[in-house]
Amino acid sequence: MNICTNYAALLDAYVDGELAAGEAERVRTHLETCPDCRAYVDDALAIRAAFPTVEETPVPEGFAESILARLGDAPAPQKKPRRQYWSALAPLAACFAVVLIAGSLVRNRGASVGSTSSSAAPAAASAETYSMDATQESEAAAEVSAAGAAQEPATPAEEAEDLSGGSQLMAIASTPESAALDLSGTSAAEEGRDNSSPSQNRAASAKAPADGALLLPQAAEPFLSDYEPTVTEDGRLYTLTAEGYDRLLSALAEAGIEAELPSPLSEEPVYLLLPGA
Amino acid sequence: MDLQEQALLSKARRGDRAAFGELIVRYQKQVLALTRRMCPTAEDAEEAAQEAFLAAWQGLPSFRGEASFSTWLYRLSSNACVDLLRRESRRPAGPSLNDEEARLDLPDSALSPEAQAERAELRAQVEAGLRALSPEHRQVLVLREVHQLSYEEIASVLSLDVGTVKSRISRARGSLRKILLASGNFSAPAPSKRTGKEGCK
Repeated sequence: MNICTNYAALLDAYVDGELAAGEAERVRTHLETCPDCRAYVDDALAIRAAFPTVEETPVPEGFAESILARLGDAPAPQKKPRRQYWSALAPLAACFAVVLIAGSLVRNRGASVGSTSSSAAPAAASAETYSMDATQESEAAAEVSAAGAAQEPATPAEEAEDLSGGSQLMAIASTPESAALDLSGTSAAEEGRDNSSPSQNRAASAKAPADGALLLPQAAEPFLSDYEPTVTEDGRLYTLTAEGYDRLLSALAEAGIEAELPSPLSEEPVYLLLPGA
Repeated sequence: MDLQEQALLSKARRGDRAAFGELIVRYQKQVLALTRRMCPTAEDAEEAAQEAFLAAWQGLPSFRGEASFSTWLYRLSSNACVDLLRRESRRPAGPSLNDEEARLDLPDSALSPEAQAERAELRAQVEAGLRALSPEHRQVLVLREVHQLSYEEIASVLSLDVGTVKSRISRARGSLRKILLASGNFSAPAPSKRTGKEGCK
């Protein structure tokens, strides 16, 4: 009455439909010739058949009402503190900030830097920002301003190295506000450039990373005519209030447009990206 | 998550109690199906289910939709049961009010009275056998067999990796089978229930 050792790890997954087709077929073939393993599978299915279903679960009378009555004592749902909301976005802002710096520095000097070196930095940055405390953040942000100015004579290749290895730079985006402000100050003012792309500036002023925005289906476009998008390389970036976002969700739902969008996270603005040019 | 549920969640998050009431009605059976098998008495199960919904109300603003609402609710329910068991230092084994409930089988017109009686008997044994398992094993088996969650979904509910879920289910089912076989009353059911479910010949 012992199941085969070779199949012990597979039988439950087989019963639960968790095996890949090839493995399931192997088990099925084995079951035809092994009465013990077959007995195990049959018993497992019999046990399953004997389990009650969710639908059969009795609900005590007045169950929902009694919970709602207890809500009277409990405070209404609390909005998450602002800091927590921003801290959730901080890694994304960090990515955006570093990419923005890298992109603007490189483009300004008409140099070509491989995308791999600049894209490596954001990944490291997002990881590093988690461990930064408030003191380090502000100190590091100050250092970045200085570093940005001192970088003027550096060659593009050296800059790329700085971006991927410089811990001060990675720390800049500890909060999105400081990231966006520092960025516009550092890159535009200190570099004195006038040829930065409009989309970059607008994206920075929106304080939202395009790569952190929620993706909209193309069919949502007609529902966004009231909003002025920021054009980015990835598409059009919309900033909606929580209320506006809620209205958009309702409108999409009414129109029967499938969109995998979450419910509003809080009262904070929501960033939405309509991919494409 | 359907759009109606999304709308209810959105309203509830803003403090709309009626919307939250609708969510309770939507999920009360799922939650109670879990808590009734995790808690020693029906009263405890109801209390844990209520605690789970209260925790959901409180936690709605931080629910970010990474998991589905049901997965999140199962997690809260599971936590509520663990908290209740710990708080009262009770062990779920032993006689339970659920015994009687387990025998209240719904009539199935497709089965003869004898088959219905057999099914009710087997169900009572399964419920009793479940209570003899450790809470960890009982939990995975209930989420699998009653809630019909995949291994991945169970892993998400219980914050485990899929490999752990797989081995727990295997051990839990093996233990339950042994208990049922040892009881002597567990016999192979009617052929129609033994085959065809997973394509076993």
